[in-house]
Amino acid sequence: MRVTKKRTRRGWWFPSAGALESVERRALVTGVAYVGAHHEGERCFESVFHDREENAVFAADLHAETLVVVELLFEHGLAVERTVAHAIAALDRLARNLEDNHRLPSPKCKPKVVPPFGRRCAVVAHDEGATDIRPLEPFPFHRTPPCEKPDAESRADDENSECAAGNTFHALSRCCEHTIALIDGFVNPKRVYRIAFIVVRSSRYMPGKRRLRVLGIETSCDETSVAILDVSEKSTRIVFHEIASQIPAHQIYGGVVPEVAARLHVKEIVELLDLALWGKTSPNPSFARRGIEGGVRGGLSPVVFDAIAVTQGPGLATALRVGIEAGRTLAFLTGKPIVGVNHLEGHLASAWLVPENRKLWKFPILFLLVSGGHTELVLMKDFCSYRVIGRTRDDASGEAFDKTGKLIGLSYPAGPQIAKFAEDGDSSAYDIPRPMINDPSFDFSFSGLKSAVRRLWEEMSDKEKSKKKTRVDLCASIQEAIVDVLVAKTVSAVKKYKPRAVAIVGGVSANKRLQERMRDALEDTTLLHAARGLHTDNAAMIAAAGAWRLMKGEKHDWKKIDAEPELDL
Amino acid sequence: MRIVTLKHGKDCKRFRVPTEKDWGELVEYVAEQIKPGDILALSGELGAGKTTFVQSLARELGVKKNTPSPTFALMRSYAVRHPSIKRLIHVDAYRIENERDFVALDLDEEIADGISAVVIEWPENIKKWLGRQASVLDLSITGF
Repeated sequence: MRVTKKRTRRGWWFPSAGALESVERRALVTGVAYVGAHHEGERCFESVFHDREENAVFAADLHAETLVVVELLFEHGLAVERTVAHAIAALDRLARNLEDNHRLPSPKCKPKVVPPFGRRCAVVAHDEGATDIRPLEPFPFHRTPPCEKPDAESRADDENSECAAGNTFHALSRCCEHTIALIDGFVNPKRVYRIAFIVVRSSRYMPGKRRLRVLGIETSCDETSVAILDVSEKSTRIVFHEIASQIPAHQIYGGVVPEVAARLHVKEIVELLDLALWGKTSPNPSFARRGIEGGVRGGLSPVVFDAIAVTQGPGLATALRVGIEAGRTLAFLTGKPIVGVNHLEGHLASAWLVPENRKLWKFPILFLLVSGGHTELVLMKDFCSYRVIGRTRDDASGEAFDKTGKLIGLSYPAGPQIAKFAEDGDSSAYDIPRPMINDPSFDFSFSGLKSAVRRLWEEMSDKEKSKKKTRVDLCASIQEAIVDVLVAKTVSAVKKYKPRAVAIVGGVSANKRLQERMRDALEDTTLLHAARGLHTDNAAMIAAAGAWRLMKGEKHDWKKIDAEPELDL
Repeated sequence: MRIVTLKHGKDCKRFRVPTEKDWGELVEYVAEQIKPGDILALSGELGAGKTTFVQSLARELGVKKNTPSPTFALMRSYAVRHPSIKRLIHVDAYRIENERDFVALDLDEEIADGISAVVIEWPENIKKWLGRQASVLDLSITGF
């Protein structure tokens, strides 16, 4: 039977005839469904073990006629343990569902009549970066897994791909054994079965590329930034990184004003890109002093990069477009792929850029994203797979700092000033509400806090207002109130979702009091290191998030990419 | 108890809003009256409940998304379900100190599309711009 590559509904793929020929011959498989060849399928797999409802649909689709085969796709044998655990969990669920639905006719799925075969199970494994499916033999037609390389696990860290193959093989054998054991119990040897492949892909899979050099561009609000990042399996290296902050210009206005922002972005992005790609010295002396580490040939030819990552949203539309236009122009000129990145995802990626965090990077990770425009609790289940579990209903925490600061006469940005004054202040001096602190949801609200500070300030006499003690005490009280809410919500989210690590990212994460309090409150949970120097908006984090997207095989068409000011995680 | 005064040309209506959560009657009235191209100018002190009102209005118009404060983004737009309006634009002029900067939002163009209605918080900051607009509904919230 010939199986041609053909797309069917729900992201099912049929692999090429040659690739499966050998498997088919041995297993007498006639209709082979290959689930999740790409991104869509991966979501499909996720749903198998994350969402009960979708799971039921999926299982119904698979039906009692379907045998489950697991395919593992690895690079360097990474994350073997985790992937196998996921596969087994998925199989367990599927098996239970299949048992429940045993011979239950599904209105969606009418199984084809195919020539019979016995209780067989086939496994196909991908080589690292290879596009073709390579059948593994003599597996899995006997029950004892062939441990060709028993020491494979101890060499898991070796970048040698042969060892990785051995490692994968080892994992596959265990996984397959498990599959057979699971299916053994309830299949009827006389019945006809279809085989479904579930792809369990290592999330760090990078098609055909071991090292990726990404150019990141960020212009979502008041910072223009360009970075070049080398991403590989084990490490990330920031080759070039510059932020041309517009804060001095904005201080005159007491906030970010879009036209001013966009105008300055245009001026600065060209200078920064010149510097990043050609290493030219700029009229700005602070740029001129810094050289670029490697990559520049004679200071004339452009730095070679593999892809461009640019912030697509959320942010100010006028500002975002400046970065996007720069990115797509470069994509057109160089022919390199361009990928649009969610600014919020970029903030999460800032924690990934800290070398010490790479060892602690175990999913799920709970992120507290706190900045001038955002306050969200995000659960990251895998790269590019997020769930926002709580967010602000009105003001962001950074906005709360800035607005209350403005009320009591501090200048923009008020956050760092409040933190500085608060050091000498008494945090219990003023009674400031902690909005929604006892609310069972993980949502935040800071508008009540702002009005409370306003009322407090308006009731004070001018003499009292001018006292230094009033200012430091008020700052300390405001800070304590905001930090209290952030810590309380994070702690209750940790209790509910039991993440393996917690990270605070975004501009407000630079607040020392917040870090201190969070460390004390989360004694038993790993708190990822703060991304020093990368907590505010920057292009390095955008490049990192872009690399995640590229690893997933995503990219945009430079002709079509546009700003999405209302983008969400 | 909050008192909301809604002025549209010569019409003047008053609504009582007993609690912060209960904007029902007012929101229903506004949702019924609003037409494409209308600008709802929302004035009131900090903490009067302007954002809460917009949130209720958005819910009434069928917005499922979270509608947070647009202070940072200055402008957010939501797709709505309504016979004539397809988009609700939520603008916060709190940070606009110079009216010339407001022009950069290109709001005139956004309104001209014939399917959008605009809600503006802190209209005091953009009086000149509002004066040039054809259809403005003044909504002021007083009391706590």
